[in-house]
Amino acid sequence: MKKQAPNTIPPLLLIALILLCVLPLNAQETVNRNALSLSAGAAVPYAEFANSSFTWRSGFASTGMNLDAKLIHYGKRKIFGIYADAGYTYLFFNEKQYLAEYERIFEDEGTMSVTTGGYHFLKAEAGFLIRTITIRDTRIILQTGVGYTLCRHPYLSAVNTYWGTVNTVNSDLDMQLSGTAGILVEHTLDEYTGIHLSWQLFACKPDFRDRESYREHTFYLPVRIQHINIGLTRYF
Amino acid sequence: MHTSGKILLLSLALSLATSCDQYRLNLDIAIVPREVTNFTDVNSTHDDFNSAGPFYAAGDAFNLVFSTNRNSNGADFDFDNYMCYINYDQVNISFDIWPDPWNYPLLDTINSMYNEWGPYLTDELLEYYYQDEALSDTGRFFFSSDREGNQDIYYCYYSPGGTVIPGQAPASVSSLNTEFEEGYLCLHPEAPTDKEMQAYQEATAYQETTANQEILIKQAAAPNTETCYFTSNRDGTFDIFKATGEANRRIETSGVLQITKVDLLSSSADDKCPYIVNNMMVFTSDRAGGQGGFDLWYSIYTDGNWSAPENFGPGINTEYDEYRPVIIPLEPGLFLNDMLIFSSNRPGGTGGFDLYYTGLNKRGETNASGT
Repeated sequence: MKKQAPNTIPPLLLIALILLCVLPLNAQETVNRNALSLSAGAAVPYAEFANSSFTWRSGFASTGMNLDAKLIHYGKRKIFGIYADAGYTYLFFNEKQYLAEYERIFEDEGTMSVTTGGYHFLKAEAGFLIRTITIRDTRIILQTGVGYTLCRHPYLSAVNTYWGTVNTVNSDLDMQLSGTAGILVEHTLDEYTGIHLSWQLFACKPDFRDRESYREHTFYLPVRIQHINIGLTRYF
Repeated sequence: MHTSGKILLLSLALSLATSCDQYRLNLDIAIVPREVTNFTDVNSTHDDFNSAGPFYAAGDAFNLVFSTNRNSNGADFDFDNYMCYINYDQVNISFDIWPDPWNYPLLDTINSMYNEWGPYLTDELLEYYYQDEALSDTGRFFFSSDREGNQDIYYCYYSPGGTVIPGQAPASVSSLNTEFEEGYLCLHPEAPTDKEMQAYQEATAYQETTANQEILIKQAAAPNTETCYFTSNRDGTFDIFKATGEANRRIETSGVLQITKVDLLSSSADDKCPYIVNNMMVFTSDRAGGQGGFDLWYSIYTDGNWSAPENFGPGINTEYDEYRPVIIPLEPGLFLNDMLIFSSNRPGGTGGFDLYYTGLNKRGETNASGT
C-alpha cells in the first residue's frame, strides 16, 4: 500500500505567508518612491555550470565578478515596486581543471596545453519587488525579474604534443531569455540614501555554435550564477 | 491578453523552440586511444589471430575477419567474422568497440577441415559502392591454407552480398606458390606521384578530391600492373617477397610474375604477415632489436622505396609474441587516427593468442616512441 505524503507546508511558502502577514505593519514612511541602486560583487557559478569534469553539461565556470544597476519605482504604499535592471557578469573559465581533465584522459600521450577565455553576460531585465520586514531602518526586499541576456562563450583550445590540436571551440554570442530571483537587505542611512547586501540567483540557457568540430553543431549550456553584491541605493 | 503578455509568451516559446539538445564537445574528432586493449568480446579460450579488415571503414562500423581454432576445439583454424561497432564519446572522451557475430556466407565456402590463415579482402567493391559506373562488381578474397599439404596462397571472387560467385570456388594462385610455405598476400596499389595525379586531374577536369574520388583517381592514374607482397620460406627463413603481375592482368590471373625478395624488409630471422594500407606496411618479425619473440614492425613507402623497418616499441610489443598486424583506416574527419589490430599470446588474455587493438598516430605518420 502506498504511503501518503505528510501534509506539510513547504518552508518557502511558510516564509512567504509570514512575510505577507507582517506586510501591513511595515508601510514605509520615506517620501521618495523612486530609487537608483548600484551594486557590485562576486559572481559564483553553481550546478552543472560549475562542474569541472568532462560530463554532459559541464561549464567549467569559476567565480568572477558582476556589476548591476537598477532603477526602482515603488507604489503609493511603498510595499510593491517595479524595476528595470542592467547588469554585467564576468566568469573565469576553470583552466586548471580543464587542463587536468585532458591530462587525465591522455595520460602519457604527449603533453597537454589549453587556452581558455572567460564567460561574459550582459543582461537587461524588468521585474517587481516586495518590501517586507523593517527593523531599525533595515528592511528585507524580495525581487524577481525576467529579461534578455547577451552571452558570450569563450574561445577554447586544447593541444597535445602527440596528437596535435584535439579540440577547439570558437567564441560565440547568443541572446537568450533569462530570469533572476533574489533577496536584498537594505539599511537606510538617511531619508535619501541606503546601503544594501543582496543575493540573487540568475539562470539562462544560451545556445552556442561550435564551428570547429568535424560536425558543426549547436550546444546549450545551462548557465546558473549566484550574485552576491553590496551596493548603494539613492532615493529621489 | 495585453500586448506585453503576448510578447512575453512569444519570447518564451521562441526561446524553447530554438534551444538545442547537443553538448559541447571536448574532442573535435574521435581518437582511438593508444592503450592496447583486448578484444574481449571477440576472443575465445582458443587461438584467435590473423585478422583482416576493410580498406576504408566508412562511418563507425567495420567487419573483422580472423582465423580461429575455436570452432574445431583446437583441431584446425577457420575464418570467423564479427561486425564491430565503434562507440566513441567526444564529451566524456571514451572509446569502445561492440563486436557482434555476423554471418559472412563467403566464409562457409572457404573454410575446410584444414587450416585457413591470413585473410585479405581487396577494395574493388569499395569502388562498386562509391562509384556510379563500377569498375568491378566482384571483390577478391585471398588467404592461405595447407589443404594441399604445405601452406599456399588461394583466392576466390565474391559478390557485394558476401557470397562466393557461383562456380568459382577457391583456387590456388599457382604462379606464386612453390613447394615451400607461402602466405599472407597483400596488394600494394602503386600510387601515382603528385605530378601524375595533377596531370590526370587537369586532363579529366576532376576537381573534387573527396576521399572516395581520390581513390578512384589514384587507381585510374596508376600503372596498369598489379603488385603484391607475401611471405615465403623458399630462401630458408620466412622473408617478405614482392610480386608484380603482367600488364592489364590481375595477380591471380597473371601467368608469369616477377618475384623478388625485398632485402630491406627481410632479415636472417622470420619476417611474416606484411599488410599495407596507403603508404604504410606493418609486419611481424622475430629479428634482433625487438622486445622479444615476434614483434610488430613498420615501414613507410616514399618515392618508390620502403624505409628501414622500425619497431613499434614497448607500448605495443612485449617479450611475448605479437603477430599479424592489420591497419583499419577509419574515416578521416570522423577519426583523428587509424586503428591497428594484432594478435598476441601475452598474459592477461582469454587464452592462447588473442586479438588486441590500439590507436596509431596521425594518418601517414607513425611514432613508435610516442614522443
